[in-house]
Amino acid sequence: MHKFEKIWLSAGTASLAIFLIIIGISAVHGGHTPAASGIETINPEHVRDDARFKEPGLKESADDDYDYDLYFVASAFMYEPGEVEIPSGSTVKIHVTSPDVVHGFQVVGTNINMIAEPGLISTYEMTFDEPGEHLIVCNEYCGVGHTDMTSMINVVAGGADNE
Amino acid sequence: MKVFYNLPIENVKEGENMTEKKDRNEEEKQHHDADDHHKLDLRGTFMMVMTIGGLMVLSWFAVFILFMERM
Repeated sequence: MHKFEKIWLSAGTASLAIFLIIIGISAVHGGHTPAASGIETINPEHVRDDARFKEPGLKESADDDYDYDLYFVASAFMYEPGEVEIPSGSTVKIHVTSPDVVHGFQVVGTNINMIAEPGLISTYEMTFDEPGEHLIVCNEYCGVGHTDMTSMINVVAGGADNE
Repeated sequence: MKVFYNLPIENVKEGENMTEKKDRNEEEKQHHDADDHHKLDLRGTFMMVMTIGGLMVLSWFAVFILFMERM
């Protein structure tokens, strides 16, 4: 084997090992696992009957681990709620489900990027530190209105006027 | 009247016909010496492989840093 071949094979293998180690430590110790989609199930035909998704929006949490629960229903072709205000510095657990087809749920500018699948509830915990606007977009093609399917998270300083 | 042309044929050994010459050439191509790789000039290949690999490593870390900042 040529000297150069040995060098680039070693570099490639070492890079792969480094990537896998970083990802592994990040996942196990940092808790950076893929977005928890699908751990909890729900009947997609009765999403609107569930107390959490009957009136989706921001609700104060009974759990001590986070401040608010934010419930979203992703349907063709809108998100409910269409807009929500969150106080800055609060930790929010987002729950998303779909009563019809598979949708995406990405909060632009954050690491929140998950699938909303009928029959499953996708969740993600996030602390919104900085005031600002975050667009929510659907990045899983769901039909003719897919490109217009958006919502907005407004992170506001101080108290929130919640919807 | 038949005319025969005795033209010189390159690389054909004495007593060897064209088919045998072709077989011999193919056999020589497949014969690998242990130091064959060291006769190759791999400098250009090496530079391109390391450059593209370096770009991949840099972009991987850039995305990872962005991910960590957004946590």
